Amino acid sequence: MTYPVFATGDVLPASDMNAIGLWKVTTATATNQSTLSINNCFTNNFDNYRIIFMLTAVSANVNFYWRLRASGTDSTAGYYWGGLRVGTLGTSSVNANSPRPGAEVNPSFLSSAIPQGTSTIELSRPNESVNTPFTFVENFNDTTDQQIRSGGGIHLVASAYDGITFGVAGGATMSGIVRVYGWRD
Amino acid sequence: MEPLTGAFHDAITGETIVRELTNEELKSIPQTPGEADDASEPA
Repeated sequence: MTYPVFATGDVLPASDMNAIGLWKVTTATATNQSTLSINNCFTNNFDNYRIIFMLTAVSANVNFYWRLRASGTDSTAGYYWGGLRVGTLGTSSVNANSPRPGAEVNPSFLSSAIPQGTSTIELSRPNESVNTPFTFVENFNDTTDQQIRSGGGIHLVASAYDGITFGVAGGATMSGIVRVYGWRD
Repeated sequence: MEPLTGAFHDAITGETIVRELTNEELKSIPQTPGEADDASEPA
C-alpha cells in the first residue's frame, strides 16, 4: 500500500482509486456560440461539483451568466447571490444583489479586446431535490480594469438538476472551455 | 444577422452538437449587453 503516494508499477485497488478526491466528469467547448449547455453532468455519483469555465473569446463587451439546467431546459429563476468585486486599478464594489428571478447570475463585464478570464464555481448537491448553494471566484477583464470577484449564493429552487448552461448576454457570442469535476463523497 | 447558436454537450456520450437556439431559448438570454445588468445594480 503506497497510498497516497503511488509508485511506478503499483497496483491501484478500488479502495485507493475511490479515495481520489476530484474526478473529471466531462469537458465541453464552445466556439462562437451564445450558449454552452452541458447535459447529464450532475448525477448521484457525487454530491458536490467544481466547474471551471475558461473564456477564450467574446464578440462584444457583454455580461456572462450561468444557469442550472434540468432535462434540457435552463432554470431562469431563484438565483440569490452576492460578492466582492475588486478592480486591480482600485475600482471595487460590494455586490449584494437581491433575488433576480429570471435573470442571469455571476455577470461579469467581459472585454472583447482582452477576453481571457476564468470562473471557478462550486455547486453543492445540484442533482438532489433541494436548493443549490454555490460559491464562485472569477477574474475577467472589463473595458477599463482587471476585475476579480468572489462570492456565493443559493439557487432557491428545490429541484434536481442534471446540467448547466453558460452564456453571454445581448446576442453576443463566445468561445471557451468548461470542465466539470465531481468531489468524491 | 446570423442566427444565434448554442453548443450542447452530453456528458454521458461526450458528443457536442451545435444548433440554432429555439425561440424559447432566445427569449431566456439576457438582452442587456453591459454593466447595467451588473449585480451592483438594484434588482
